[in-house]
Amino acid sequence: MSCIGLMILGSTGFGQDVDYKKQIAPILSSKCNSCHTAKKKESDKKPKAGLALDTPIGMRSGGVLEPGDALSSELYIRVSLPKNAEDLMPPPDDGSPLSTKEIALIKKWIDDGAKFSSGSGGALEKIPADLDARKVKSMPVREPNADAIAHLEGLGATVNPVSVTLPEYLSIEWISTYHKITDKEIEQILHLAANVVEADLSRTKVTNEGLKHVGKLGRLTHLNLNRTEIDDKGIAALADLQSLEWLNLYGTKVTDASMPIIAKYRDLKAVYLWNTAVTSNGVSTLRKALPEAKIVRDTDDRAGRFDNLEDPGKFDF
Amino acid sequence: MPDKTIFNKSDEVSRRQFMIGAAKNCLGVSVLPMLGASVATHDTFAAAPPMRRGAAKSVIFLNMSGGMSHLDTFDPKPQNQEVQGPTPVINTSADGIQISGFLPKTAAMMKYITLFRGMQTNQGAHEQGQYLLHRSYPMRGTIVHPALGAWVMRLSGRRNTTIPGFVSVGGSAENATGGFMGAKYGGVPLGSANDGLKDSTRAHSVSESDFNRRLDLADKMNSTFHGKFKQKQIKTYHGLYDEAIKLMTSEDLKAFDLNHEDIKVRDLYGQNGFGQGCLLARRLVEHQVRFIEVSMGGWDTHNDNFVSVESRCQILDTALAGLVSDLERRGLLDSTLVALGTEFGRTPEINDNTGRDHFPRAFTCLMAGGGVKGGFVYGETDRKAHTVKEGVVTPGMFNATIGHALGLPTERVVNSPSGRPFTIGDEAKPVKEVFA
Amino acid sequence: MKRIRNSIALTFITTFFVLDSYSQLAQRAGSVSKSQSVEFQIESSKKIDRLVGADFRRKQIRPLGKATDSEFLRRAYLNVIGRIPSYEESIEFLNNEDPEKRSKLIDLLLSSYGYNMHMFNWWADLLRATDTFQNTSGAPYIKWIKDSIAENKSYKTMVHQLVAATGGGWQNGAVGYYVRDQGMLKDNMANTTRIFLGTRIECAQCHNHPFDSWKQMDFYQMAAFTNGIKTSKDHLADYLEDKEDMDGVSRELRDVSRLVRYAVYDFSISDSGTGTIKLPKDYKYRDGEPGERVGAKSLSQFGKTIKVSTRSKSTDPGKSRQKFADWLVNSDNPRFTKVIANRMWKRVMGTGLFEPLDNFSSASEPSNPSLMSYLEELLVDLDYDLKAFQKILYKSYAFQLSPNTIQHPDRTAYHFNGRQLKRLSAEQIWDSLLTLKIDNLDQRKGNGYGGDAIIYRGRPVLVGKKSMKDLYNEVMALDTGGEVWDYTKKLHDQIKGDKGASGGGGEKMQMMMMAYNASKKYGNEMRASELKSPMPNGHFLRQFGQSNREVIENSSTDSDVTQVLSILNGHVERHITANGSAKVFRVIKKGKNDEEKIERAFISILSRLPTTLEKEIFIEEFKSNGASAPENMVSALISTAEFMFLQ
Repeated sequence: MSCIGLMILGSTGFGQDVDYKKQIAPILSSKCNSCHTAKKKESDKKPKAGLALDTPIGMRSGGVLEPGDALSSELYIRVSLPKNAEDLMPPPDDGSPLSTKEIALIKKWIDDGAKFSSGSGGALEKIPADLDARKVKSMPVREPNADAIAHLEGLGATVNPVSVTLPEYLSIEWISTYHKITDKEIEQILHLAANVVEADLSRTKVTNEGLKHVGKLGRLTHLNLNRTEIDDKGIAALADLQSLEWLNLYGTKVTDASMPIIAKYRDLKAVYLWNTAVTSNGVSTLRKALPEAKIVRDTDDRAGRFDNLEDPGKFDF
Repeated sequence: MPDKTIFNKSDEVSRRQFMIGAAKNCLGVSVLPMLGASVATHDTFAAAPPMRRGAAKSVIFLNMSGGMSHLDTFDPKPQNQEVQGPTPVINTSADGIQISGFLPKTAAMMKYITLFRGMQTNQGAHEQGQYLLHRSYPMRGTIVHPALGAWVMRLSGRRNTTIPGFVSVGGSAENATGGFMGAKYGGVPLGSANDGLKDSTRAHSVSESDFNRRLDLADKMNSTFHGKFKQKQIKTYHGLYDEAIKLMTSEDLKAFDLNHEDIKVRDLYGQNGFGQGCLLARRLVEHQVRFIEVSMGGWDTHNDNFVSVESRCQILDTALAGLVSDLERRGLLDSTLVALGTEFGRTPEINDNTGRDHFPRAFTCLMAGGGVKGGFVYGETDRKAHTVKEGVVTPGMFNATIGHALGLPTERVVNSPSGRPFTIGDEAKPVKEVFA
Repeated sequence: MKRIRNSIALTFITTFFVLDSYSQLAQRAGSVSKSQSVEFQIESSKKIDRLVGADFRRKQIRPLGKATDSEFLRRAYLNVIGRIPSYEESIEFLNNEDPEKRSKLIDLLLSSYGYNMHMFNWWADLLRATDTFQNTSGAPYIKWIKDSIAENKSYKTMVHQLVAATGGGWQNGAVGYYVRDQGMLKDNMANTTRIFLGTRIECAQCHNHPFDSWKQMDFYQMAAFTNGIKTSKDHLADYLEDKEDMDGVSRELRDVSRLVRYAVYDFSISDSGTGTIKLPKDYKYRDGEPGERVGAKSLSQFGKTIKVSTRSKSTDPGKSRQKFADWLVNSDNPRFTKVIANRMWKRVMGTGLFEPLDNFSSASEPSNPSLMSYLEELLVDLDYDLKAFQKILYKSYAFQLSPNTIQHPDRTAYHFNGRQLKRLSAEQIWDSLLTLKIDNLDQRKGNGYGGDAIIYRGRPVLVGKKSMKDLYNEVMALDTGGEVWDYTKKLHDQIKGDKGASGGGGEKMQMMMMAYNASKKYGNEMRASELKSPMPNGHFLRQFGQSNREVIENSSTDSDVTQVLSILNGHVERHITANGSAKVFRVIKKGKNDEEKIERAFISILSRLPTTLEKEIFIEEFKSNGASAPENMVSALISTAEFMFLQ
């Protein structure tokens, strides 16, 4: 064992850090990405085994990496199997196997923590002061900045592509760290403004001030603000989010005064208003403006009936 | 004779002191044990994203154990009194769908529900039927198949890494097994909704400062051991202490405590074991737990079927309707699949004890939320509820459909340690027609 | 050595006991056959070391050094008898200056009852021995296994008795091997092949094996050996079942009748079956037609092929399983010996010569082929005496190597240059924790789950008057339904009139009562082998990975967070750490000062003295935190990986 270990270290250059962009990505792109790609082809196929190896986010979420432990990482195990092994990747019929050096590089990279970012955080650009929803919407959709993701994860966020096939579009949420999150952390989402389409800020300490940052996320389709301290002033800051399809405001202090702004979200499919100060009048105004949208305000605790249930009278009970 | 290993005194201890201090300041956590494993490695990455956008994020699986009579719940035959017996039939909020009069609140919720009226299995005994329902494979003497929740864990991972991702409330602990995948993917069984997570709080016999001292002492011991045995299994073991502390100090632990709920909400679900289990399930979903099973027994109605089913239905009706409506008003129903399953139905023929016996050839299961259609029926039985005329769904298909709702790669093969290939639904395809 | 003598008093009583055992053992050694003579054992151990050493040279591996006395002590106790040594046992060994003390410890442990207990766990996992079968008690099967271990029955004999078992469970517990698998005899055959031949043919139940050479036809021909076996006098059981459903039969009488059906008729095997089997309806290969009947035929490549039937008819009526068992354990069948030799090697040395143990395919190659063939030879020489075989392995130098600091990757050949670290099994953890709680643990022999008492509605009845064995013999002597029904009614009356145990009943009955009382007396505070098999889901043992005993060797040594919580806040906290009367605290209390207390805790829990620095750490703890320092120390030591892993 120890002999093999030495050999590997020797060939990669002892002590040097492996750089994902310069050293790992090229291996994957030449040997793996013809099958494991998120890029849709003419046939509109999904990446093989649901695993996209052509983007950091696809790799991270593919379940093939155990950072710090190559021997437990599917990625390393599968490329380093004996040549006659059934599970060897790339499959012998489809591509050439990785060289010993390439395998050693992958091992060292994973053992060192499988870092995608350059590490220093220096690659993070300053958020432009004049950013707004319209500018964000006109930005090109590119692969999300790995340093920005690492930065937000450092702030307790969970950042994930919305699906395997849409690696550029991200959802961001604060799971189990929500109680510590303030406007300051929320502002940092702007580093990924071009990519974030879903944001879950429920139960965070976000304020009306913080929603000014959220109001710049022009690509947002899903926004969850339930059980936060925000009110109508905060909603006013979201007027430019014209792509919104799903908005959860339950347990907030919003009132009927916010309805005109919500009424202008032409694509809105669902809005949740339970436990708010919104009245049934407010709901009817909204329903007139958005006849197709689902508007949920309350349930009838007698029978678990909703107030927007069309014709409750027809039941036999 | 004393052990030859000497502590590497140089900087281990001081480095640890520094880390503990740092943890206190930055994280508000009072202890950070087992240095060396403290830079948690395994759970740093988020769970796998779904195969398609908008997939459900959690599943609440309601297990009707004992074999729920389809005729007296979701597949009544009002035109055929001979098999229907005395059970009344009512309209629902979904046009053209009628269900048992024992389920009035659920009837109001029917516009959110898809019924699978063509369920079918070949297992007529409880244990075997429950096994197939949970694992998609028939019971064998040569392997333990993982439960559905374990498949979900394996194919997508935890969303909230401070608490378990798979919890099973009531019912047999077998329902939470990781099978050949190992305990890592298995669920945490809770005896009842009020039990809380076992051993997750400090024992009364220990003060907080003693507790922290113990961890600190063990940590000091372990750092020598780990220095000598730089092994993954040792690191993993130490990491579990981190995870345990993470859990004990987790803000999300209160998800397990029903005392945080208003009495009105507790009533909404029904003040009984199953109802409160459903309430717990909703709380866990709010804390990003992936898979929660809640079991309800008592459906084995060989005797006095109509009396027994009515009283079962009172509990089920309140809990199910309460759950669906509560999820909906919180905006959780789109991302939460509620699935209700049972191991088999019951004979359309009424036996001498006014009971019904086991009937695997035709029965009903249902789903709500999680992207499935509302007010929809898939599959149909004949006029006696005796055979499936169209839309046969096996437990494997049902489970594959749950997997599809979650956006899992349902065709992905997972090998057992001996190399045998398995899939979430025993190669069955999901029923895609039920999705909106 | 000096340290210990200075700081801790010798326990003379223990010493005496140990010496006494040694002399007994020496006497016994005089009367055994040549292959079991001490000289033979010593030579064989040396031969093993030479073969292991040759492998090192071949592969240019440097072996690690010899384990310390503490390492050896702990390893030997956990490996041979399944628990850590008690404080007294550790002191005795560590203070002993006899150069032969390691070898003598092995002798002592192998001849102790703890060996039987630990061996039972191993057998129970292998044979899937459960306390309850579908409708009846599995106690006779458990008892048969325990008795076989106690008399050190040869492995070959044991396997033959299991596979060829006939009769009633209360006469011959070995029939449990089949009765536990009622209705799934095909799976039973797959398991037989897997356990005893290390070959997995279950895939071939449904299709030709994709990687190995097994065909579906091979599977069915094997399954034919056990196909069609029946319970004894099943027509009488049917008669009872009909009677139970008649009007006017009370629930009590019905339950007595069920007891007779389940425990007597259903727990029996009458003959050897047909020796033929029908191919499945969807059979799709050219070598047979769907639904065609085929005769039993043993797998090729496993010794001389045998048949017991033509295509449609048995040629050896009633002898099918007998002949199958003969074939299975025949030394012509090379795999039979190889598999058990490797299993035993793994049991002693921690890692197999080939792994997995039970999936030996055409491509498998032992890591050390010459050692493998020597072990096979040795086992045959010893006539499959597993205890003698283990003794030779335990006395090798290979067993005494230091723990390996590097973790060996799975699925690659291991050359035994040091011991692999391994988490303790659930049973080892349970038994070790109890060692810290109570004295004389190994003397608590219990079989509270039935024994051979008649259990009616969950409680023993007619204790001292009639045992299950009596019941079995009386019922089986009856030939007509009418007689059996009358007997059942009479039994019902006897049970109803039973006013508890009779005064007399002789020694046998008293034993029965004692066994029943053990569980009342000790609760669950007994070795895992003496408790229910398996313990119910959710119990500590299951939480730590005890097998459900439904699938072969289904135990797990994976750790998870609930186990840690149980150590920190649950079971361990309640039973040990917060329990001032636990043995470990009684031992600690006797220390004259903090230093001695610390040493006593280390020896109790980790079987070694603390290092200088460790002692400093805990002295500091005592200084700053006096009152709760002992508890904190015990909790911390149990929380270490050193406690949880076998080195």
